[in-house]
Amino acid sequence: MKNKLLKAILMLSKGFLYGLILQMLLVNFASIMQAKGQYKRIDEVSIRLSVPSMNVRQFFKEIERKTPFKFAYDNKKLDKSQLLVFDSELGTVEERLQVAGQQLQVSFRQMNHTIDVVPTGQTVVQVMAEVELRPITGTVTDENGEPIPGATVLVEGTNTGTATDIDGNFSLDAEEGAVLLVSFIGYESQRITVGNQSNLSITLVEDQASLEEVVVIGYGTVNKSDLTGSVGIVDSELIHSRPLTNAADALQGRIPGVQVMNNSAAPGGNFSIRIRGSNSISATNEPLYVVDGIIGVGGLQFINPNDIASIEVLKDASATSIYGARGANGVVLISTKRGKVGKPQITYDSQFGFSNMARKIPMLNASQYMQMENEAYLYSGLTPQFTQEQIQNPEFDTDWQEEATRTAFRQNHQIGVYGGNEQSKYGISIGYLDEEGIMLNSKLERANIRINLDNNLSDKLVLGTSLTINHSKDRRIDTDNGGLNASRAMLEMFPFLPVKYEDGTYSNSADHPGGEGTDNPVAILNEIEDYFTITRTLGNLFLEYEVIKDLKVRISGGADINYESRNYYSPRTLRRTRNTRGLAIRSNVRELSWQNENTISYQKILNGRHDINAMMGVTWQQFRHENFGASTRGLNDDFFKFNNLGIGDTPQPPTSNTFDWALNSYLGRINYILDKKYLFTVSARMDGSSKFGESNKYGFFPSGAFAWRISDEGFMEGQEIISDLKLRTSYGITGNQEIGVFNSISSLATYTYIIDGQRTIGLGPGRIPNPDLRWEKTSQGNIGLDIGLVNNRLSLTIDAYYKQTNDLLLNAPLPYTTGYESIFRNIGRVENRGIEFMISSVNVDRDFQWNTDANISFNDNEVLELGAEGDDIFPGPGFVTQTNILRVGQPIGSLWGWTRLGIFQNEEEVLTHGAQPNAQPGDIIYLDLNEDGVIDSQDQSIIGNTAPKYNFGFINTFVYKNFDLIIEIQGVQGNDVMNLNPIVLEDRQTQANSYATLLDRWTPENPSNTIARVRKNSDLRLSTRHVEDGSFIRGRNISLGYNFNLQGKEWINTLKVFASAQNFFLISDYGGYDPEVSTYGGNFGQGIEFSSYPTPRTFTLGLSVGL
Amino acid sequence: MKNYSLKYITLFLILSLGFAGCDEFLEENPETFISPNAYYRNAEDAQSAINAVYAILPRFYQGIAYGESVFFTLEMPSDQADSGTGVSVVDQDRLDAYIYDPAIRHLRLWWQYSYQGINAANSVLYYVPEIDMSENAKARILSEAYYLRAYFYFDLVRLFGAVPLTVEPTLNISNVNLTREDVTVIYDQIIQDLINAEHHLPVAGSIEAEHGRATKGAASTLLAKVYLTLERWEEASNKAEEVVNSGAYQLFDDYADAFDVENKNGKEHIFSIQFERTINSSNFHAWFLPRYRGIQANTEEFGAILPNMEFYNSYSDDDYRKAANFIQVIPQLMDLVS
Repeated sequence: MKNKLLKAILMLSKGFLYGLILQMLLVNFASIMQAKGQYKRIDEVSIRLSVPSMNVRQFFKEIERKTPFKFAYDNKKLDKSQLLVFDSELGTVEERLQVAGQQLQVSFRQMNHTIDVVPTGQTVVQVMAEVELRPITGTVTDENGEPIPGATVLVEGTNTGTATDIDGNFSLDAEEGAVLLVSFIGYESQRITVGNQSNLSITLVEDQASLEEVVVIGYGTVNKSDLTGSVGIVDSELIHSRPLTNAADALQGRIPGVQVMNNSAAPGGNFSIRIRGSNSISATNEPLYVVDGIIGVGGLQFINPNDIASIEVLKDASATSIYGARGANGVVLISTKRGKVGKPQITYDSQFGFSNMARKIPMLNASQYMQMENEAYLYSGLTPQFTQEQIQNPEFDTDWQEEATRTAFRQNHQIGVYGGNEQSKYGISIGYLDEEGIMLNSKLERANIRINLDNNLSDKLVLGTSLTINHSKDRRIDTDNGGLNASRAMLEMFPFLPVKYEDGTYSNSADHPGGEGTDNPVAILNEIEDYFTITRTLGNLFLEYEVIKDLKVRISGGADINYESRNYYSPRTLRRTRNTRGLAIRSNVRELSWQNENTISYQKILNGRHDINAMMGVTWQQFRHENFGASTRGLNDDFFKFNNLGIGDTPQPPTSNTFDWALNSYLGRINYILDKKYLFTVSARMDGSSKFGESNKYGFFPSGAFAWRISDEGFMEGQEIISDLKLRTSYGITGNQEIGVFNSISSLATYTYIIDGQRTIGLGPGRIPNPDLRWEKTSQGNIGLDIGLVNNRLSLTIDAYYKQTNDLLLNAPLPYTTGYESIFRNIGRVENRGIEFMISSVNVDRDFQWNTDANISFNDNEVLELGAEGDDIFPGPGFVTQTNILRVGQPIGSLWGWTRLGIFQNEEEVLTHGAQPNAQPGDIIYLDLNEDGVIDSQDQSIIGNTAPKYNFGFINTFVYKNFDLIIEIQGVQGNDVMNLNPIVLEDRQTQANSYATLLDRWTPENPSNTIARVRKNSDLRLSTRHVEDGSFIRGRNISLGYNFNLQGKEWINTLKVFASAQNFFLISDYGGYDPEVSTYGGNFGQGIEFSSYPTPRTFTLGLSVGL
Repeated sequence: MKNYSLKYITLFLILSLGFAGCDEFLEENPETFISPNAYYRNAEDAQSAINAVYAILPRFYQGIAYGESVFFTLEMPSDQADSGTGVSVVDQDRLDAYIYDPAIRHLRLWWQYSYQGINAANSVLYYVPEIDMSENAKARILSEAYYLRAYFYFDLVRLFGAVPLTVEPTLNISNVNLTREDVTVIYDQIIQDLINAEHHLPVAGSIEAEHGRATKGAASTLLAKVYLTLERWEEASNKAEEVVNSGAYQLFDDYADAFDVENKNGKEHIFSIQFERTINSSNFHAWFLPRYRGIQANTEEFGAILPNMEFYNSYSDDDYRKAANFIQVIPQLMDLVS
């Protein structure tokens, strides 16, 4: 019977794939509608027709209404409007079909209560084999006897089936001897042969394999227990335990070896991530981001954190080498929420929060400043500028940090709908974020839409799509770092000046002779408008087809489309743009990155002991960037802002740029598991990059890994302490290609000069070629151990690694006599080695639950080789003197400067020291390192290191009844921060305000050994004074939630409220706002501060509803 | 079976489609700049090649940071000027104190800018002769390149003594480590370049002369200065005489007029580096103003460089240059905020 049916269907389909699918759907649909009651035969049932003549449609309808039979047919092949004429009024259904069949030239076949219509050209009416069906009822429960609702019960080999109700009961009709297939997600399927029993009791056993966490790795997934590489995971629950604006935040303190730094506390400010230290000098050290398979998404600020289902971080070479030339810095894989089978779930999440300045820097007030300045002038032999009257009763005493900041408000709303059936699943969400920054007027608004769809077009063909559109508008104030921006003015502005004078004009520091001339911070924040509007669309579509059993072909195409525009206006009311009469800028960026990936995967278990999972593929990716900018000065009125550049009488030359790069890759991976105990992974990728030289376009990145599930060995049986034990080893090579474009080819640069008073353009030397330029290569070995104790109540993961990066992509200095400064070459080596620990423990597991997750990671970095001569390199960011140095034998992140010994207390000390003959008592003593009697660049040395010795995270979660509490503490230890602020705030008196610590300055009466006398000249040498301990322990997040008891409420599933605080404490000796800082950004900006945006402390109230 | 073969065909198609790589895909095709090989084709290309050499000149007089500028290399150690007090600088204070530390950016940048100019001039001399263009225009452009190369080397040899000599543009990274040449070799090259330059440069004031471009007079004057430096007195005198007698230049009646902005590119100016506020501005004058006194509108006043008092006092009070060269009264301070 089965074969006949199959043949019939094949006949119907005539080999045409989509026809087949459609017909199967139709047949399914028709056949599932029945399945109850005693079957009748068409020759047993008589029917009286209402009229002797009717069309096919009416005929079918009448039979379906008056008898238990239903028709199944292919709409396209049957003309239902055709008229049928019947000669007799009464007759059996079979006789009727006989008549109809002759007129329609079709055959009919009865199967149970379904009548299949088969267009054959001849007429046969037949009843398919005997159907002895009997009603069967049953109950499906789990091992604990709890009913399982929604389990599928299917008569094997047919399309007959049903699902269990809320109490786990089902009923259907099946013939004796039929096999029922009972299945439910997360349980092992069971086969029951129908005997003479009519009431079945079926117990499903949990499927350990499918219950197990599935981990996303590049181009596939594996069960967590089958992992051979080092992969860090943050699951959905943990991700959403903090209010997030940037998804990178969800990683902070949670994965060992992954250091996440929030380097600008401005709304939407960027994060920097280092995975297992810094490998590179001139190329990026940031990991590769892959969002739903789209590779190379620049940063995570465009992904709505609420949409994220899981984040996986690939750390070792075995895991990352599938990303080849882009894998060396680790890979962050983001998977977004998709629909699941079941009734629609509607979620609403809402958060309201406010934040304020977590730390304030103590500055001099008006009287104190005036006193200091007078003292400085007197020391320098000049007439003081302030009278005693002014000092005692300053007219204004402005606290600029107070004036320039505020309590900022934040709200975030998200609606999501997730659901689907076996055929199609959907996940749709809409989000809105409105976040104010604590500095006046800084603000981020963002709206997102996401649509994720999955369709089983057939049981062999799957179609999936992910689409997200993100629109944000951001008023930024943290640009122009190092310049006189608001965060700097907030500290440097004179306290004796008001925000505004009586006539309504803003003060600026040049209002006082000798002042550097910064506009006051409130003026900058209120008057400069700097908007970044970004629309970003990420879309991906894949088709997966099971060509033959176990072999799947997947074709996917994705695009990342970015449109950014910047509108800037600095008005005529500010000092900086007063003389140029305003400055208006408009610029935009358009970027398109597309990718196509074609993979074949094969998965099979042979003889029950060889588990093979292999994939190979070819991918293409191309990125194109275009930008355009125009600006003008000389606006007649501030009214126009950036909206009418034509009004400016001094337009600046327009700018534009265009570039693209492309990658073509071949990749493959084999996972082989023997006896579920010995796990092998071999993977490789060959990447071709347009960024490299003619002779080195393609690079090959292989890796291999072996893991051993020791706990599954026979000798581990019989003991109950170690429940899980796995040893992992891996070695592989990955690359880094993240340098700019065109670095391998020569170019001419544009020059501007004036001839006869006119702008004249020149084209001259730009760059010399390096046809040998290639990727940077990082080889990494990893050894790890996963241990589970006492039924996995305590689990421990340890990883140790050694990485060496060769052929560094170094923007290597050239002798200036060439006329060039540097060229990208592959020279140098860097190593990183480290060890990581992670412990998860279920401390208490009763009514009261207490879990602890703790992680700690250590990393050591060393530069092994630099250039041919191994000369030191000063990579910047640079201030008045160099901040950083790269030196063989020293870590990346070494800080450079002089050593301060203290303060000269008297003339005698000046004479004894000898190297600072012009110094006076009260001046700073520097170490004459080479003892040549002069303080110069030869006396600089390495005075610090911005790379931490270790990072840790400590997460405790508590659940009691309906309450849950999470407390997360995060820390970084052993790193230095170079704080440039004292340069201006301690050693440049009279031009700007100073730290309150200046009150403890050296005077003959107060022999301070740390703070020099106040004086009118300044000292700008970067020294040990500017290196501070950047270690900190931060109360990252504390969140208390309450889950309402909703039993018996059908319309609502979950309701949770929570209150949380971020950055709720910070323990650090650092003198700035926050030691987690990078004012200048870039590879070497980490841990270097020059008046950064202050870090807020944030409080949030949230509501989460699930319907 | 028919279905299976269809599947294999599909599979094969997908595979062959995917693996059929194309070399063009990974080729870089810049659209915003041009490679030297595709350039130097016509008279306009030659013109913009020489413009790029001139464009190096202003770099010596633009700011580095905090009121510092490369030309202070020569001013600070002199007896005329002192580094301004209260200015946030380190390097120029050391120049003022005769500390010649290799880390001083002024020294490094002078060296770097000079060789940038030399390399750009060498590029002109390397590529332009091959261009099919008017021989007159070509000769003039080459002469300008000779002039500018001599200009850069003359400063270099006087500042650093024996320096590497290169008369070819740098085209790749082979052979980039040059050794120093004897001072006499450098001077020989300078003199040869200036003699080459003199012939085809226009005379100042002629219709071809343009403000900013080298003239015959500029080349001869520089040559006179070179001879003077080498103590070849007679040649120096003859060259200088040539310039004086050329009739192309005259002294201003008033000494101060030579420094008046109104007389930019005036009759007494032989060769001037050109600036325009909105195009390539320089804060040159601001460095000479007392710090933050609100004296002038367009730039900050850095107070970076101050006259040496001894030097100032060395002028007798009735010396007109004293009044012309110095501001003797500090302009009125802005009133303190009351």
